[in-house]
Order: sequence, then structure tokens, then C-alpha cells
Amino acid sequence: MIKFTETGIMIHGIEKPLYSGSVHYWRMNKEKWSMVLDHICAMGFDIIETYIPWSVHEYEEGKYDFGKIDPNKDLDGFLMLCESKGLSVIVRPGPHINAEMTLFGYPVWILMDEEIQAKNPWGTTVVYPYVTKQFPIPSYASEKLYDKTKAFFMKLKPVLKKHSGEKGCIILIQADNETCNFFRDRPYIMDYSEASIKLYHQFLSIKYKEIGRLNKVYHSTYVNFEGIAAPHGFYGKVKEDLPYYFDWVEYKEYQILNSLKCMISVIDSLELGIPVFHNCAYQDYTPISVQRDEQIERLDVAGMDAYPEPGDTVMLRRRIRYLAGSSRLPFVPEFGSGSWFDREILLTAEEEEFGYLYAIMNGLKAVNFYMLVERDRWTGCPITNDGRIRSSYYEMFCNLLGIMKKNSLHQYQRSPKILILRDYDMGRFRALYSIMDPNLLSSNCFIQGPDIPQELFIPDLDLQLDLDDGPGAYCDDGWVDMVSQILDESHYDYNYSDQYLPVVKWMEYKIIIAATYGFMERDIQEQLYQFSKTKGRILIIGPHVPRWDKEFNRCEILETAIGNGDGNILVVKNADDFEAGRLELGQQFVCENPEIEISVHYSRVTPKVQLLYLANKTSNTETARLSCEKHYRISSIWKGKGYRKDNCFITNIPPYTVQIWKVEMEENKDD
Amino acid sequence: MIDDGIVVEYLKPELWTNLGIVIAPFTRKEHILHILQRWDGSYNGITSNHLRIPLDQFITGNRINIQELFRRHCDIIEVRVYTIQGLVSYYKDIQKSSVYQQDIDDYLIDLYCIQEKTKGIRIYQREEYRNRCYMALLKSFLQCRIEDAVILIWLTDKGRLYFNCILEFSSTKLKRISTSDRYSEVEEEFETIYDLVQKEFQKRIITIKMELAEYIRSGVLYVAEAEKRL
Repeated sequence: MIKFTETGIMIHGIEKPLYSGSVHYWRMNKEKWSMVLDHICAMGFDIIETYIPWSVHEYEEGKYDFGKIDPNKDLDGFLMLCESKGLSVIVRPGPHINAEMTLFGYPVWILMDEEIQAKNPWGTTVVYPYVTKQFPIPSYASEKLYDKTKAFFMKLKPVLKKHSGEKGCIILIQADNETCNFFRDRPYIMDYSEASIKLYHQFLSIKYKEIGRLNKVYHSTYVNFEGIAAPHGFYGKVKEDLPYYFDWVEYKEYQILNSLKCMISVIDSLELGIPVFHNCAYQDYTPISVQRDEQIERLDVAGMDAYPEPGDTVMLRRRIRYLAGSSRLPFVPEFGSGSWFDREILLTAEEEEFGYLYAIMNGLKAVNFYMLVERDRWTGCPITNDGRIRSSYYEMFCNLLGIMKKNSLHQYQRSPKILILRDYDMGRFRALYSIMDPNLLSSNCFIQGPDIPQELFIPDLDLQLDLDDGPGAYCDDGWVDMVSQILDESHYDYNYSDQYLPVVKWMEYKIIIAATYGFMERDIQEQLYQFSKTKGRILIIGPHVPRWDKEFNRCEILETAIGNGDGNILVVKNADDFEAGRLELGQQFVCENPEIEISVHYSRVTPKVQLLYLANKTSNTETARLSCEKHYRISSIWKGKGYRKDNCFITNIPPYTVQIWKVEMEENKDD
Repeated sequence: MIDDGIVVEYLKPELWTNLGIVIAPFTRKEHILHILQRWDGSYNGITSNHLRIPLDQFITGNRINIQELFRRHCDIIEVRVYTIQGLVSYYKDIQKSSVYQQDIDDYLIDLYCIQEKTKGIRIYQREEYRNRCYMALLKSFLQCRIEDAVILIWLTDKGRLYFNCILEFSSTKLKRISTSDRYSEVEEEFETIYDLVQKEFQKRIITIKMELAEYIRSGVLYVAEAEKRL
């Protein structure tokens, strides 16, 4: 039996960390497979990952090749070789592959099938302008797409089944890939195909059950759900018009969730009996939701991919802490190792190492490095496509895997007392509040189309609501960003999530900081209020206090509680006024230098043993002077050199470096 | 020009990381002002670097004084004025099924050409910035009419190899991109690599060999001259 655990994966009774790396068998000469896999093992990996692209194996409609014509497509042979070397394998059969393949792994006859294509609001297709060929984006609502996918999967079944189970190497399977409308996630770009509109009506009928209920919310007189036309843009005038548009945005989420359900059903027909995961591309906002993905039956873990720029910490901190706060297992199924060819810059081995360790420091538990082996349209990996070693990347991975495994980094965990809840509905509002959404006509540095800034389409209305009308993309929340920055400067650790996190998980935190605006669902207001009334808990909200529910009926649960002094609620209207020092949470290590980020990870096995992570996020060497009220022994396990002076522990940290220290707490002399 | 099955392989990371600098002379850094005329006739303007531009002072009746806009905003090189109907027509047109017959580079160039021809979209450019699509420039720079040849780009920075690139054209299509890493067993010297390219591809070789600074200068000059030709 194989299952995910809180820290990795259990394979037939043995728990191990989930550290994996990608290799594309069909893009290598079969004769090189063995040497390449040996290099991978030598770096310390015992799990690899591979896509299984549809267009590669079904080379013409109805004609398949699994190695008889092109030896490099010998999937069975590749998996046998992995087994012989003791490697476990994660498979990702798509149908969405990307992998810088010309049609993202879909066969051409699939994408050119009009019954499968997504449609824009004006009835033509939706173009994805990939650097080697523009192609039409398929519709997630097309039943034909899933039927065709299933037919391909049935061709894979004998091979995948052979290599699953007690003696097989396959341990995990991914349901589709980055299911986010091909990065075109704004609501009015697509999908207006017949199949999608049918699904939209189904969504409405499930949500409202009867048309009268919908009419009451919409202030409309529809006779049936089928009579409702999908919006092409926002043309409301007053806040009461909003529910119709919210429903379209929520339908776009439903379409993706439904697509994942369909894919899991297809995967179930393979009868592999292994866990299923999904990788969200980058969105912690509509139309994606890690928590709701994980509520899908048989979808065990939803991770998120990460391709940081050199020295990036902002994206990584937000994404990894969101996963740490929201997912069953903070997993990055694609963490950039090397890069696609049409990117303006590659990361050095040192820059990559910083990103990986910074992510672990922020709560990353499981990772697949994408890619370990270079291939067509990808470079900057530890191993070249012809089996050579790129020493800087190779040595970095040898050292990294060594330290991760030797010290069981996955067995330590952060213990933040603060949870920041983003307002998912405000993201929805910002998404829907657009006159139209033109498709993006760019993709990476070679393909730069005549795109139009989205802000041009923001309506100029006063909806008489307290909203987040600051600049930026709809995923941004200026209030949350400012509060986070103040917590960072005070070295307070926190996780991110949103209203879809099950309430039982809220209780793991002492403080919830919730972004709240003029409207909020009644249930969520009630849950926040209940949290504020729980002994020892504090609720901090801002920048506004909600007065309406999402159907725009008066709903002032939090307002009333605040007025009555009921519950422990603090309102921070202006995030600049937020005083982290008043939280009185206590900190084990105090560091005056705001440029240094600190994270303490606690051992699951030995409570007195901790790992202290120190990150210098700047381009200058920084000094960390750490004070701690308790007695402790400290020793470096990664890149640390330090000394004690005046009851402080002092260490100089080079630019963009993470140091890891092992701390063993001692009994206080006074105790 | 770009073959949909193009192979991109043997990219040496230490060289390929300079790609952004190498294509920079062909890419546009100046700003574009996007103006949307809404259903009620009002205008809304925002630049490509996301700055809102108040337009009242430039509007008389329903006319926008473009020259005055250019005069007051010297960082703006192009103004695009859209009606919603114009945009609908444009996005419908550029996503019709026939576009999948084109190569991606031709499609990209067409995105700009169709924009200029669409009723409801008006484009105003400064005299000295006539080129709108960098792919068109890049295409002419690479002399895409070459039927069968290899272009070997070899750039040095103060004598030290900075970037190289081997572009294989076959029947006017760009079929393969690689770097000297494809000959990893030999010294990374121009003459050696040139000989190996000649031996492997058996095609005419066109070399672009120069210092980085000279390349950037000539790239900028090339762009400026191309602007004049338009």
C-alpha cells in the first residue's frame, strides 16, 4: 500500500521523504537511459518523475508506438530499468503535458476537433500562442475530450498496471497538469463552448436547485436555468447585480473541479491503486483552490508549482506558506531546476539552492525538481541529455539531497501561531469586475503580442461597497501584503490560507488575521465570530468590517460583535497601523536585523531538538545577532559559522544564503 | 520561419543565460498608451507600464489630440485607441480556426497587422518608431529568406565567449537551435566550432561574430534603420 503522509510518502510500510526529479525518457536516446539514471541515483534520488505524453505514443490517430518503431518510446523498458535500479516512479500521463511540447502533449486531431475546443465569448477559438506553434485551447467541459483521453489511458493500462503494486516502481499518478485554462485564468476569456454553457447551467441548477431561488437572488424573471446567458464582461450598475457575475466566476472554478473529477474517474479505470495528486500552476486565488481540490474524492494532495526568479523570496514565501496553511502535504510537484529555452535568464546552481532551501525553511515538505535531465527546449540541469554531468548543478544537488536526508529535514516542522486568511471572494470580485477580458497574446520572451493592460477594462462605478480597489492584479491584496510585511519585520511566523480551509484547521492557530471587506458570506462571518469567542484566540480583521452577505442582504455579524464587545476582535482599518509587537506571542529567538528571516522547525521525534533557519534575502552580507532567553547548544548543519558574545549568538550570512543550525535546548539553570 | 517541430538542444547554461541581453536590442522598452472608448463615449487611458493617464485635457468633443499627448508624454511612442466593438471584432478575428495554418512568427506579425486594419482600432505612432512587432525585425535580421543555411552567432565580451548560437534553416524554416555545447568534446573556439558546424550540417554558414558591445550597437542601429525603411 502506498499513501501520502504529513511529511512524505509511505511505500509498502516504509515512510520516506518525497524528494523526486524529472526525466523524459522519450526525449533521450534509449542507450543513455541507464547512465542517466545512475547519475540520478548518485545524486541521492530514489524517486523520479516522468510525463507520458499522448501525442508521443499515439503518433497518428489510432496508431500507437510504445517502442516498437521508436526505441526511445519504450515505456515498459524504461520502467523496468527504473525497477532494476531501485528507483520509484511518479507518472504524469496528462492529457495536459506542456513540457514545452508543441501542442502541450495533445495530439493535433484532438485540439483541432471543434467539439473539443474551448470558445471565446464571440464564438471563435481561444488561441494559446506557444513559441513553436499557436494552438486552440481545449474545453475542460468537453465530454469527448475525456472519452478520447480514456481511450488513450486504456492503451497505457497494461504497462502501468504491470509496474504498479508490491513489486512495481510506480508510486504516484498525477491527475492532469496545471488545470488552469492554460494560464488564461481571467473569467471572460473563455469558455463559451456549447459543452461549457451546458455545464454552467448544471452548476446553477445544483447551486440554486430551483429557478425561483435564483430569480430572488438575481432580481430576475428567468423561466429556467437554460435561459440564462453567460456574461461576457461586467455590465452591472449596482451591487445587487453582482451575484450573477459571481456565479460565472464560481462556475469557472466548478469547471476546473469537475475536470479534475473527470480525470480521476479516468485514472480510476486504470485500477492502479496508488495515490493521486494534482499540481496547481501558481494560483492561490480564483479559479484555483488547493483546499477544494483536496476535497475531491480520491485526490489526495494538491500541490503548487514554483519557478522562482533569482533571489526571489516574495513569491516563494507566499506560495509555500499558503501550501503549509492549506494543503495536506506542502508539495511542489514542479520546482524549477533549469529552465525552458525561451526565458531571458537561467538560474545558477547557487541561486537554485537558495530558492530550494528558502522554500524548505518556509514549510516545503515534498518536492519534485523539474528537471534533472536536460532535453529538447530545456536547459540548466545537473545532467545533460546525452548523459554528461554539469558539475555546478550536479554537486549542488548531491550536497542538497545529502543534507536533506542526513538530517531528516522533513521530520521537523514549523509551528506558526498566526494564520492569515485571504478573502477569496474579494479576488473573485476583482476578477469579475472587468468590462471584457481579451486573451493574452504573449508567451515568454520570444512571443510578445499586442497585449492590453487589464486595468483598462475596470468599470468606473460606485457600488456603495467597501472594496479592495487598490492597484494590481486580482490576486493581490494590499492590506494582507502590508500586514505580512509588518509580521516579517518582527520575525513572526505565519501561514496563509483562505475561507475554504476547514474550520477545524483554524483552531491550530492562536491568532487569525482575516482580510475583510464590505461583504462576506454569512457562514464565514459566523465562523470568524465563533473563533473570536474561543478561549485564548484573537481575531484581527480589516481593512473593513463586512455589512452584507454575498447575496447583498444586510449581514453584520462581526459588526454587531465588535459593537457589543463580544469576542476577541481587533479591527485594523489601516494596515500601516498594525502593531505586531502587541501580539505578545513570544519568540524563542529575537533578531534585530529585519533583513534576516528566521524560522524555527521543531522535531517531531525529539522536542528539545530544533532546526534554526536563517535566510539573508539581500545582496549584501548581513549579520544576525540572536538572543534567546533559554540555554541552548547550537551547531551548524548547513553553511553556518558563528560565535557567542554578550549573551548573543552572532553569525554573518553571505548574500542570498540560507543557514541551517541545529539547536538543542537545555534546562534553564533556574529551573 | 519557425518550424513547429523545431529542436532546441545542447544549450550551454552559462551561455544561454545571456539570451535576454542578446535579444534586448530587438525588443521594445518604450511605452504604449492604450485608450478605451467606452459605450458612453468616455475615454480611459492607461500605459503599458500600468500608469493611468488623465485624458480630459487632450480631448475636444470626441477627438483626442494625439500630437499633444506625444508632446506631453515623451516616453510614449505609440497610442492605441480602441472601441469595445473594435476589440470584439479583433479578438474574434485573430482566433478564428484558419490561424492554425500559419507559422507562429507569421501569426505574431499578423496580430499587429490585423490590429491596424480593424475598424474600431486606431494606431498612432511617433515618426521615429514605426516598427511595432519585434518578431518582424528579428525575422529580417536573421534574413529568413535563407533557404538552407546555418547561422552561427558568436559573441564575445572583452574577448571572452559570452554567447553563441547555431541556427539551422532548412527550406526557409528554422529547424534547430543549439549552442557549441553540441560539440562538448572540443575547445570552445570559434574556428573549431565553425569547422564542426560545417562538417555536420553541410550547408552554407553565415557567421555573426563580434564583440557584445558592437553587437548591441549594430542591433540598435539595425532597428533604427529598419524604422526608417518603414
